[in-house]
Parts: sequence; C-alpha cells; structure tokens
Amino acid sequence: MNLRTVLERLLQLIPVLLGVALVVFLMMALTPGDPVEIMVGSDDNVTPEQIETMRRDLGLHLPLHERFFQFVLSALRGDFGLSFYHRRPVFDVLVERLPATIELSIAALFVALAIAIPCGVIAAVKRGSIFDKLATTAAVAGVAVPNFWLGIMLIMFFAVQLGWLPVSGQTPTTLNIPHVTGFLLIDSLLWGRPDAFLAVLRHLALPALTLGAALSALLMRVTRSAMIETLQQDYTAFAIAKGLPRRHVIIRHALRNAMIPVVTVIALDFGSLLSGSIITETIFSWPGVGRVLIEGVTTRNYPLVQTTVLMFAVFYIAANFIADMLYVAINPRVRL
Amino acid sequence: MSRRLVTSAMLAVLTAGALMPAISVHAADLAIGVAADPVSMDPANHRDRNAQSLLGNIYDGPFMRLPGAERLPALLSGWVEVDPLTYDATFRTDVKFHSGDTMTMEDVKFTFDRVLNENALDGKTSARKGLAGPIVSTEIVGENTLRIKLSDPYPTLPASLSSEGGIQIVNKSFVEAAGPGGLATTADGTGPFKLVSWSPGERVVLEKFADYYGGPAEPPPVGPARLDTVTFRTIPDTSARVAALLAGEIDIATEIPPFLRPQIEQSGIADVVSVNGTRTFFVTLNNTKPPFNDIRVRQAANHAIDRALIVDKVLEGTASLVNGILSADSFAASELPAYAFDPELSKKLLAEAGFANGVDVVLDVQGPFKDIAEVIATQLTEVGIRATVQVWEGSVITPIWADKTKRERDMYFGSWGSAGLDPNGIFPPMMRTDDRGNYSGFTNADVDRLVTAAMYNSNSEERAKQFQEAEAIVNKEAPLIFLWVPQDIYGVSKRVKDWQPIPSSMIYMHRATVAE
Repeated sequence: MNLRTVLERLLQLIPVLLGVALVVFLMMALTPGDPVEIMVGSDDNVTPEQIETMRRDLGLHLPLHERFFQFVLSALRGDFGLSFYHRRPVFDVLVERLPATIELSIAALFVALAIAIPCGVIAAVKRGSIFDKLATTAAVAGVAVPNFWLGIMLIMFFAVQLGWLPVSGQTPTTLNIPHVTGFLLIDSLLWGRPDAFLAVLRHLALPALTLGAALSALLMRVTRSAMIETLQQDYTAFAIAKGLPRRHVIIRHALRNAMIPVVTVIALDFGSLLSGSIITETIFSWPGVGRVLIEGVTTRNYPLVQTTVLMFAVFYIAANFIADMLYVAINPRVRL
Repeated sequence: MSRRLVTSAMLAVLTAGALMPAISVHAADLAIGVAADPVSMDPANHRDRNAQSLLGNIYDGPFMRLPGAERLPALLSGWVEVDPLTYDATFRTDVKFHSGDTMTMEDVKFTFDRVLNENALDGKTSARKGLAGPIVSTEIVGENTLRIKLSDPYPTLPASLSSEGGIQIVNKSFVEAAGPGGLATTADGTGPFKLVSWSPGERVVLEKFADYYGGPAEPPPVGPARLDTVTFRTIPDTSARVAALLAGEIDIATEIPPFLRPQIEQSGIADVVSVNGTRTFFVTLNNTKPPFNDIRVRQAANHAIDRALIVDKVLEGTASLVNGILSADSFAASELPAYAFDPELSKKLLAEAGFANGVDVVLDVQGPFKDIAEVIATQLTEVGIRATVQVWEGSVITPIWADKTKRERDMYFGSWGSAGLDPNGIFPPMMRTDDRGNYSGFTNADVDRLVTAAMYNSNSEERAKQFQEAEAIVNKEAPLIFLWVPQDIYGVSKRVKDWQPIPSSMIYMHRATVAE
C-alpha cells in the first residue's frame, strides 16, 4: 500500500466524521426530553429560575445551528465540551473509561479466536463427524443466546455456585493498581505484582467469555466454510500429493488461505465488539465506555453522547483500514 | 514447539487463576453494592442520590438527620432562633478536616457562600442552592457563630443544613488549591471517613478518619468509625448485585427488586431489610378535561382499583398504601379515609356522571412500570373506564405532562419524591394551582391558602394541622388515584452489625461494624 492510498483514506475521514457528527447531533436534538429537567427530576425545591440558570450554564438557550457549529469548532481544537451530568470535560470522562473497554474487547477477541479457529478447522477437516455437528450446533446456540442471559448464567455457575471466579468488577476491592497506561493487565505487570496480574485476569475471564461468545460462533462458521473451500482446491490436493505431512498442509496451505475472510470478519467485528460491550459492561459492572454512553443517552448528555459516537466512528474506520492492510499482508494477490 | 509452550503457559496461568482464592478481605472492611456511580465528589455540585448517600460519610453538615431525630447537631455546639427570620449557629472548635487542618469559621462561611451565592462555583450556581432553604445572607458574628438570615420563615431549616440538604462543610484552602472542578474527584471533609480512591464506574474506597470529632452526641456510640474501610462498588445490574452479595463480594446490596427477595432470604448468607421509601406513587388524572374534570369519575377511578391485590401480587408486599400524597413517615401525615375497592360503586358513580356506557382513556406510563399500569388499566376497564396503556420514555412523557398550557393527556402513572419527608418537598409543588409538579391541573383555593401558610409557619403544631386540613380536601377531591409508597429493599450480609437503612436513602456507615 503506498503513501497516496493512506493519505486518500485519511482525507475520506473528514466528510465521514462531519456526517456522523451532524447525524448524532440532530438525533439527540430531535429526541424529546430536556437534559435539565432530567437532571433535576421530580425533585423537591427547584425554582423555575434555577432551571433557567442551569439551561444557560449548559448553553442550551442557544439556537440549534449555533450549538452545532460551536461543538464542531471546539471539537477541532480538541475541546469536546463539559459532560452535563458529571460537570467535567467529556474528554476526561471518556479517557478514563476507554482502556477498560479496549482491554475487554481484546480479551473477548482472544477468547473468540481461541475457541473458533481450532473448532472451525477440526470441523472442516472432519466434516460430517460428530464433532462437526456438535460444533455447528454450538455455534447456532452461541449466536442465538442473548448476552445478558449468558452473563448471568456464567456468574451464577462460576462465581456464586463454584466460587472460582469473581462476580463483577475489574479488580478485587482491596487491590489498587497504580494507573500508568490504564490497561490493568499491563499496569499490574509494570507494578511487578504477578498476583495482581492474575487477579485482573480472573476478573476478565467471565466478561470476555460473555462478550466473545457470539463472535466466536460467527468466526467458527466462517473458518469452517473457508477451510472446506480451500481443502478442495487443487493446490491443497497437490501439496498432499507431493507427500507433505497432512498437518503441515492443513495449517500452512489451507488455513493460511482460509484466514482471508476470517480476518475481514474480525476487523469488521472488532468495532462492534468495542461498541457492543454495553450490555456486558452493565452486567459485570465493567467501568467502560459503553456504560457511560447508555447513561449519557438516558440523561440527554449531548456532548458526551456526541463525542462517544464520534469516537466509535473513528474506531470503525480504523478497524476497516487495518482490515484492508491485513488483507494485503495475508493475501499477496491483492494490491491496494 | 514454541507454540505448544505458549499454550501450556496460558493454560497454567488460567488454571492457577481459577484455583487461587480471592484476595481475602480484612475483618473490618465492608463493601456496598450500589446501582450507579456518584456523578461527582463535590458536595455542592450535584443533584444525585448516589453521590448524596456516599458523600454523607465524607462530609458532615451543621446538622444530621436520622429517623426519629430530625435535628441532631453535628458540627454545631449551639443553635439559637433570634427571630423567625434570624438564626445563630455556633460551631464546634475541635473539628479537623481529613487533611489535618482545623475547621474554622472561614471554612464555614466559604461553604455557605459556595452553595448560596449566584455563580460561586467556578462561574456557575450550585445545584444544591434550592435545598438549603430561603437564606438571604450569612455573616460571622462573634468567634464561632454564623448568623443566618432568611427571606421567609422556614421551619425545616435545620434539616436543610445537613448532608441531605445543601450544606456540607468544605475546607476553603483545600478547595482553592484544588482549583476549578478540583473537588469533583477529590475530597477533604470532616466526616467519619476519608476518600482514598475513586475508580469511576467501578468503586469508591473510603478509609476511617482517626481524628474524627465523633459526630452527633446522640445516638451512641460517639467517636471514630468502627470500620477500617468502606467500599462503594458500582454494580448496575440487579441480578449481578445480588450474585455479588451471595458470593460474599459485597456486604450490602441496595435497590433490590421484590422478585429477587426470595433468593436472598433462602441463601442463609444475607437478610432482606427494608424501609419505607420517600417516593409516593399515584395515577395523575387530568382534572381539566372530560372525563376526569368530574369528581364522580375521579372517585370512580379510585374505587375501581384493588390496590391491596397489586401490592400483594405485583410488588410482593413491598409497599404501604396511602390515601393522599404524604408517606406515613412524613411530617404531618394523618389517617385519611380510604377509597375501598368497590367496582359496583364505581359503575354507579360513572353512570351518574353520564358515562353509563363507559369511556375510553389512555394511561401513560414509563417503561419500568408497564406491568403495574397494565393491571391498573385492566381493573379500570372492568368498571367502564376503558384504559389503553401507552409506554413512554420518562424524559419524553414528563415534559408533556409538565406543560401547563396543553394538558391534553388523560392519565399518567407516576411518582414524586420527598427525600426530606417534609410536606414542603411534595405538597406545594404537586397540589398548589399551577405549581411545578401539579400535572393534574388540580386547583382549590383552600388548598392553596392552607399549603402556602403551612410552608412558612414556624409553629410546628399549627403547621401540621394546616397540611392535614389540606390533605383531607385533596383526599376528598381525588385529583389522583392514590396508590402507595414502595419500600427501599436492601440485601444485608449476616456479618454486618449496627446498620439500618433509612428512608432518605443515605447510607451512613459511621456506627456500622462487621462480625469477626
């Protein structure tokens, strides 16, 4: 991929982000509900004058187009405004929460890959066997079972009944890992405390499994069908005829080629892992961005929602970009 | 082979992780599972139940409120009513902040100004100004006394000068050093616990403050907190919160829905403890248009609902019926005649009002209360008030009902909270003509007169009578379908001692302890 393509891609970002900003802004503005009324709620002792003052403080007295331009102009300067509810800069609120979401998404991806690739390959190689049937059925179940149900069931079994793993949270209550990167697996290692690393890993296990389950089912099916296709190709037959060991053929020749659609699915789905962790974060009280977004929507926290959605848009675009690059790396036939 | 090595290493780590016991908790550590994060640590800059119930442990106010004791002096050593518009508050001299600084009158005055003055909070006005009462000015008189002047007599002023109200004393030099917004994430109070850390979305850790002045002289024990640490953990999902309680990860779980009670009760690990809440539920009837502008239809609606059945079957017995708008625990609460469940009487009243063939109406409700609204709609339909339930998002439907220029809807299942359990918080807004929470459009000159007089009456006996007289009128006029006050339900581990939930939902841990 040459520099020009990269630059072109980056330039394409501008209209996309502007479009996303406009759509989100309009959607929030058109959704009925006044942030100040929600903040005050049906609470005692608030005068109409105080409500007016609060509206003014939040800039809600300005006309819609002025609010939009103000948002875009300040965003260009890196100022995403104050979160209405927290009364702190939106950027600070998000930066605090982002590492937890990324860490969970990556862990979920690892879980998904660890289950999907071996199962997919074995199911394809032993096509029609009991294992294949079981794996395919499990994949259907994996896609069909809702996240929140799976999460609660895993908690009840592994945390409450067996007591092996913690119910929720990111670390044990008594453990305060010094924040360096915000990624607790890394921070606990930097801290030089393997016990803290293990504790973080234990907390990560159930949420990662819950979030990764659906993706692993999808990836398993993609891997299986891609493998079946490559196993039928002439070059596979030729490699076997050449006398190469069967395992070598499956992994080096068939799997490598079968990975092309798999990588595409992963890259596209990683964006949805990040943004789709909302339910998992709620069940496992995981301090990520998804939960902030939900709170933001229900309280009409305009700056927070706009910025979060913009950020997710950037992630999606970045994931697509990376997918394209990986595509080239894996498949030398493609040139961008 | 290197791949095999990596795989085995990963497996080993995972197995070790699974088998390693959870890092054990210290005997005097206690954890509380709450549904949401506090929005801020700044006691002057929020209107948030979660922040309020937490910050009461870090910051003390002049007064403290506990059930049965409305005005316990906390940071005060003296309180004198000079006249109904002037009070002298004398502060203790032996109070230390967590930072080690001694509390001075400068800090006290600074705190009042921060809450009461316009634009005093980094250019903005404190969201808690309205809770502090009609204070027009404060002035330091004498060595340790603050003179408070009011615009109107305000009988519940002591309650307002508490953690539930607007005033929690902050350290002036600490606030100034923290800079704009600095107090949102840091704290230096005079309360029994100091803030150790806040991991947003996950937990807030508090630690015993050894130099605590001891808190109110009553009830005992007086002195530093008995727990070493208290952790407020945010666990938004109710099932997960109960699971954490049963797994021993937390000791107190707040906001338990009725259907999860049996799971806790049968566990043998924790008990269910409940307390009447501060929120009154009702169905608002639009008094300004047919059919509910006719008192007979409103009474018919009240007689049509089998409230006891709903409380028993839907709320699993976790609510107390009310026949007006005040909770039984509120100041001035009184016995009022109940509208008995009597469908025949309802039909008769409807026929008298000219609706012998029934009438079609829409019952608005917010998503979480859809089930209850459907039961109510069914019961109304049986007597001829054919109600269709329409489900809304709260932030959409509430402004529609709050708009006094329109008043086009029929019925709205809703509630009003009165955290102070004083009628001032619920009666004037809901029942005075065109007041802020008067969604029904109810108007009655006697109620307006009585309520306005009671609001500012410092003679508490007379004040109670005025509210009672007004509520008797409201009961008879039936601008609403009167329903119930739900209980706040907590799951509490058997190792927790000396802790009780209180109606204001404050979670005070000063006196609590845990069994060894």
